[in-house]
Amino acid sequence: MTGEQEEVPDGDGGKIQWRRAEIPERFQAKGLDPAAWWLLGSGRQQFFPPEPPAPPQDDPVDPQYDQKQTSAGSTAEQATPGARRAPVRLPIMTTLLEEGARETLLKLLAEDSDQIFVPGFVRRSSESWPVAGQPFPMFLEEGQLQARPIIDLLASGQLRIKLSPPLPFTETGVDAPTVVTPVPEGSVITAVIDDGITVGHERFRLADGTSRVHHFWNMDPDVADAAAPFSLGREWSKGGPGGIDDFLAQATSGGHIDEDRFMRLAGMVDPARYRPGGEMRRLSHGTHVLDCAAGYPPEANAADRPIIAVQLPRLAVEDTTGATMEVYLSAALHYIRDRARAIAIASGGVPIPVVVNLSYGFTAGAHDGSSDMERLFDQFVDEANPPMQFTLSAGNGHLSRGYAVVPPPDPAPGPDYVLEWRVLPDDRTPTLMQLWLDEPVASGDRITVALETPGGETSTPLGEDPTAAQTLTLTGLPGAPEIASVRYAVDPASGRGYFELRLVPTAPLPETAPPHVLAPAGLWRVHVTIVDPAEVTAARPVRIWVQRDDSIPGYPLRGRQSFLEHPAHWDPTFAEYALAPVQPLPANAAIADDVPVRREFMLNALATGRRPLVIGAYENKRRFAEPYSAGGPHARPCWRSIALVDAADGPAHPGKLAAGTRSGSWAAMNGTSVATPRMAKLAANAIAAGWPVTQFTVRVAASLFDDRTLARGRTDLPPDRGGCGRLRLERTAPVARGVARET
Amino acid sequence: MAGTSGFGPDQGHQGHQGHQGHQGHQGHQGHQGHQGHGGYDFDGAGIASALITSHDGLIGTFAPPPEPNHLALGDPAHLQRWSPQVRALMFDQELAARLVFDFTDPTATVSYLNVTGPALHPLVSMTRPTEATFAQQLPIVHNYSALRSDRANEILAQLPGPMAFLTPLSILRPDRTRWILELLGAVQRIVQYVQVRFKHALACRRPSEYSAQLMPMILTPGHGTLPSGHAGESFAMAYVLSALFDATAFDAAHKAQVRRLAFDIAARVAQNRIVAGVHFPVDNIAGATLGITLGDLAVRRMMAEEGAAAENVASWAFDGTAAPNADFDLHEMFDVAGATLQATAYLSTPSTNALSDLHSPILNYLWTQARGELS
Repeated sequence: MTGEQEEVPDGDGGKIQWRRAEIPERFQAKGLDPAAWWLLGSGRQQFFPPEPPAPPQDDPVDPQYDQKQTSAGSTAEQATPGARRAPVRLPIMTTLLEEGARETLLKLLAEDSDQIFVPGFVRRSSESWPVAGQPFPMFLEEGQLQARPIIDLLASGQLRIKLSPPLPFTETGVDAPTVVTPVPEGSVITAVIDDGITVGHERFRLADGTSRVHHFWNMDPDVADAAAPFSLGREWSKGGPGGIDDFLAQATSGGHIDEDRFMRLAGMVDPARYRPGGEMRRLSHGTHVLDCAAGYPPEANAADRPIIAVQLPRLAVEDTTGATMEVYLSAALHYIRDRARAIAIASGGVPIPVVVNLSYGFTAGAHDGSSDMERLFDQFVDEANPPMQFTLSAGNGHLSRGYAVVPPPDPAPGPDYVLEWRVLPDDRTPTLMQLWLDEPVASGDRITVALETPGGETSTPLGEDPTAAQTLTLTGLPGAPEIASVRYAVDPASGRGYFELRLVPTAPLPETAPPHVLAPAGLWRVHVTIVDPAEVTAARPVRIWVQRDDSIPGYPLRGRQSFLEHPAHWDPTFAEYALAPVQPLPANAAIADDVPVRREFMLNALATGRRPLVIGAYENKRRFAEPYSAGGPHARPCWRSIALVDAADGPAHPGKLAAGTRSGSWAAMNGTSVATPRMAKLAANAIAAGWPVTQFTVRVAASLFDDRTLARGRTDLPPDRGGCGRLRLERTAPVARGVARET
Repeated sequence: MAGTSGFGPDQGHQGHQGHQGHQGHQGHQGHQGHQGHGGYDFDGAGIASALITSHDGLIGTFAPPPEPNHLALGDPAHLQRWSPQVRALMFDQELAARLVFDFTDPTATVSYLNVTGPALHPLVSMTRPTEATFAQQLPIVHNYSALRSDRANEILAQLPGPMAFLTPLSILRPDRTRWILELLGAVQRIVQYVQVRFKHALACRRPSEYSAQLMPMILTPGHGTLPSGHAGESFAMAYVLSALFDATAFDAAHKAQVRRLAFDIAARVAQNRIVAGVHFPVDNIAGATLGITLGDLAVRRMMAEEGAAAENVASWAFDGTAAPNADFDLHEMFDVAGATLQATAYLSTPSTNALSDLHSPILNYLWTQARGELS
C-alpha cells in the first residue's frame, strides 16, 4: 500500500491529492510532543513570521543577545518598527524524568545559556532546579530544540517536551527588582491568571487607597518596556518606586483616583504602542473574574486577602485551542508560587496559603489527568509549599457537539463508523480533532482512521503507525502545500495512542498574500474502522474530541468552531420548519445509545486532575445545571465537575454582577468562568477559617449545602455534570466571610 | 426644522447638522413647553379659522387702549421676551463679532478685538503639524480601533456633540434649565465658528486619507482634521459648565467633582473620535487648546460686570511641529483642578494682555440667569 492516490480537481481549478508522508525520525523521539512534526513542518506558516531577509554579514551578533549586554537605556532603538527582529523562540514545557539527566540538561543550558531562556523566577524556584517530574517553561530556538543532546534525552525517555506555537516576544533577560510587601498574619493569597485585569480597581484596594495586588505580571510582549525590564512582558509590585501604590498615588487628585491615568502612568495601557485590550472596555473577563475571586469594597480593608494577578499574552488568549496557552500557564503557576513564598518570607516566614483561579479551558486532550499542566496542578497541591489549591472551570461546551465515542454505548452491528465533521467557512485558524485510545497493544492496529474531504476524496485508512501520515496536498501550488493530515502518535505524557486530524484554516488572514493555502469548508467525514473488537468496546471506546476553535468576545474574529453533526442532536419539534439543523435539543434531552456523537465529556481538558476544584455552573433561581456547563462521561464519576456554583441569577438575569473595568461600574457575565472564581473566594475564606479545602471536602460541602428541598426533585442534577451538588454561596459565604473580617 | 434634519439617513451630515439641530431643538422644545400646559395647539390653519370666528363673535366695538409701559433701550432683560432662536442669534453675534482671524503660513491665529488697550489680543495661534507627524500617529488611530465595538453607542450618540453627556452632571433639561442649555449651546457654536476657520486654513488631511486600512466606522466629516471640533466644543463646554458651578453656592467638593467629571467626559468624547477613526491624537491637543481658551474667554465675558477691572488674559500658541508621537493626554497640557492650560513642548504662552473691554450686557444677563438655575 503506497498511500499515493490520484490527483483530483479541488473545484478551484487546482488539484488535491492524498499522499503518504514519512515522519522524520527526529520527530519520533519518545519524549517529544508529537505536535512538533506539524508545528515545525507544514504548520509553521500558521505561526512563524515569514523568513526575514538575510542579515548583513558585518553584523553577526544577534540583536536580541546583544541587547542583554547593554544598559536599559540603549534598548530604546528596539522600539523602531522593523528595525530589528527578535528571534523566533518556541515556548516549551520541559519535564525532566530522570534525575540523572539533570546534569546533561544543566550543562546544555550553561553552555548555551544565552540562547535558552528560562524566566528567572523558575530558575530560582528550587535549589535542585529543574525538579524531576515537574514541568517547567522554557523558550528555545527551533534549532536548539533539535540539537543532538536534547534529541538523545527525548529519545531515551529522560526528558519530555510539550511544544506551543511561538509568539513574538521581547525578552530582555533581566528581571526587574521585585518589591515584596508583607501581609497580615492569617492571610490567604488569591491568584488569578486571566486577561484584561484592571489592577487599579477599587475592589482590589484597601481603605487607604493602596492596592491589595502585591504582584502583577503582564506576560504580553507588548507591554515589555526597556525602562522596567522583565523576562517576559512586565511585572509590577505593590510597593516601591514605580510600584502599583506609587502609580495609584500619582494618579490621585483631590481624593479621586483616576484609573485611566493610573494605567497610563504605570504603562499598563499605551495605545501609542499597542492595541488596547479588555482593560479599556466596559466589561473585561479578568476584572470580572478577579472581583468574583477576591474583590472587596475598599472600606472592608481586606489586607488579609492579598492578590497576585497574571495577564496572559493576548495572542495566547486569542488562540482558543489552548495550544499556545499551556507554557504560559505553567510559567504563571511557577511565578505565583515564587511570589507567594517571597511574601511569606517577608511576612515572618509562615507559609501563606494560595488559591489560584483559572477560568480558561479547551477541549482536546487525553482527559485523564496526565497532561503536563494537570500534573503541575496536582504536584503543587501535593507539595503544599506553600499550601495551594486551584479552582478550574468545567467549561461551557456541553451543547457544542464536540465529543463522540466509537463504538457508541449500544453498538450498531459492524466495525465501520462515519462521523460527519462540519468545518465552517471563514475560519482563520487551524482545525483539529483527536481520537484517543488506551495504551498501545502488542497485537497491532485497534482501529484505522481515514478522512474524507467535502468533495468526497478519502485518504487511505491509517492504522497505528507513528512513522507515516496521510496528508492532503495542493498539487497545483509550488511545493504541494499540505491542507489536511491524518496521523497517529503515542502521547508522551499519558503513553496512550491517539490519532490527530488537522486542517489548515478555511480563510486567509487579511494581511497574507496569495496563493492562499486553505482547506475547503464543508462536511468532512471521519471514517473509523474497528480492527480489534476485543480492545475497542462500548466500555472502552475511542474517545473523540473536536478542539475548541472559537473566538472570544472583544477579540478579532478568527476561529470558527467546528463540530460533529448528527440528526439525533436536532430538535424534532422544529423539523417541519426546516430549522432542525440550527435548533439543538434541549440541554437534558437524552441521546439514543446507538449515536456516536454524545452530549457529554466536554469537560475542560485541563480539569481532569486529582486535586483541583473543578467547578460547573447552575442557575440560582431554578437551580438548573446551566445547559452549557460541561461534564464528564456517565460511566466515570471522577471525570466531572466536583460541584456547581451559581453563575446566573435567573432566566431574566442570565449572569452574575461583578466589577466592570472601572470603579463604581458593574457588569453581568455568566459561564463556568464566573462560577469558578466565586468558588475561589469561598475557598480562600474557608482556608482562612482553618477548613481543609480539597476535592473531597468540597464534594462533601456541596452535598451538604445542596438545597434538595427547594429542588423538589424536578431539577435533579444530571449525573455527568452536576458534581456533588449546588454549592450555595449565600449560605456558606457568611460564615467564612465573618472569619475573614476578624483580622 | 434643522433639528429634525439632523436625524436623516445621511450620517455624515448628521454630526454637522446635529450642531445646527441644537438651535432648532431649542425652538422645538418651546413648543413642547406649551404642550406641557395642557396639550393645546397654538398655531396652524384650524386654530386660525377658529380664532377668526371667535374674534368675530366677541370683539364688540373697537376701543383704543392706553399706551403700554415703555421698554428701555437695550435692557438685557428683554431677552426674556424673545424666542430661544432669537436669543441664540444675539449671543452668537455678540461672541463672534469680537473675533478676528489671521492666516499667515504656517500659522493660523484667532484674536480678540479689544476696543480699549491693545487692539488685538491673540487668543490661540496654531502651527500645523507636518505630514510626517500625522503619519507617525496612524498606528495609534489603528490601535484605538480595537475599542470600536465597545464604544459604538457612545460614538454615534456623540455625533452632535457632548451636550447629552454633560446634562447628567446635574438635572439639566430644556424645560428646567433652559438658560444653562442656551449658554452651553452658545459656547458650542462659537467654538464651531472658530474651529471651521482653523480647519479651513490649516487644511489637514483626515486619517483615512493617509491610510485606507483605518476604515472609519462613521462617515468622515467634510472638513479638516485639526483641530478636532469635538474636542474643542467638549472642552469649552466642560470649562464653562464647571465655571458656572464654581459661581454657585455648592460646596467645594461637589464643584470639584463636577469639574473632574466634565473634563473626563470631554476627554472621552475626544478619544472616541480617534476610536471611530476620524481623528489623530494631535487633533485633540489642538482642539482642547482652542476649546479651553474660548471657554475661558466666554466665561470672562459673561462674568464681566459693567466697568469691571481689566483682566490678564493669556495668549496660547500651539506648535504642531513639536507635537509628540504619543497619545492625547489632557493632564499633560491642562491642570484640571486649577483649570489652567500648562506650557509644554508644543504649547507655549508668548504673552499676556490686560483686557478691560470684556463686558457684554446680554452675555452677562445670560450668565446670571443660568447661574440662577443651579440652586
